[in-house]
Amino acid sequence: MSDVDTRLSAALNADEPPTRDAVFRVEVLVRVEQARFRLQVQRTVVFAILAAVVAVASAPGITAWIAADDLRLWLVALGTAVASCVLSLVLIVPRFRRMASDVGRLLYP
Amino acid sequence: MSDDDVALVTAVGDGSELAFNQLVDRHQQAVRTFLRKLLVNDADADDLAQETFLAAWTHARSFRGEASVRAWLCGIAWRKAKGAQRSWVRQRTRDTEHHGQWSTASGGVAPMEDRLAVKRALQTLPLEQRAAVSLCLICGFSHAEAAGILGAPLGTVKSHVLRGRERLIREMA
Repeated sequence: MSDVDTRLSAALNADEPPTRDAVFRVEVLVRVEQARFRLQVQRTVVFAILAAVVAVASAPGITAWIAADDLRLWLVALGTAVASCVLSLVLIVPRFRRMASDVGRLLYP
Repeated sequence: MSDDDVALVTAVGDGSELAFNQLVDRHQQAVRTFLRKLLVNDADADDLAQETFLAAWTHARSFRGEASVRAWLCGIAWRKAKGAQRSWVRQRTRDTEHHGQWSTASGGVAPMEDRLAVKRALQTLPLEQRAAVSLCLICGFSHAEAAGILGAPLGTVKSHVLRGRERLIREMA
């Protein structure tokens, strides 16, 4: 390698960032967390809007259906309890959480 | 291509933060060096490098293994850099002199005149030429790999590197 090549190589490789940089890695992780948080907020808002629309649309029908028989009120209460348990399971158990996350990625790539 | 790197990206695609940490540790220097040679300002380059790794985290499953992981990351960085090009042009005029003054304060083995001359000459090269020079002469990619990263024909990349190198040497002389 000629002297000019050596000088050029040295000049080009000056001011290289360090091989390991914990600060940079932490900054990247902060960005990942921020992006993840934004995605979760978006999903939650979409889910909440959908749930509200479904609730408003089905409320009159459900009210009329419950009024016809007392037993139906208990059925609705039981259904709500089961739905809450399933939702908690999804949030608590990692395997279900991953499944929910995969479904979320499919819906919001 | 390192199987270890491919395994890391696969693990990142499955959501492993540990693998992502290792991926960042292993390749941050190459991505940042590449972007620092493309941009006027090191802080902007690091900002774009962080965006690059964020995109790698989000799209890890899209890695097809056609090129090395480092080349894949530099490809993402290149696309982001091209996207941000307009704002750099506006910034370049404003920041070049200021940045030049600060650069003189940092250490290194190359003589200061050489470093400044090369830095100045790099900034005058067209963006694609600068990218080709950075990838081949600094990051150690082959011409073919650089062509894959930049999405340019091999002959064009070779010509960019040759002309860029000549110009840098002329500026140093």
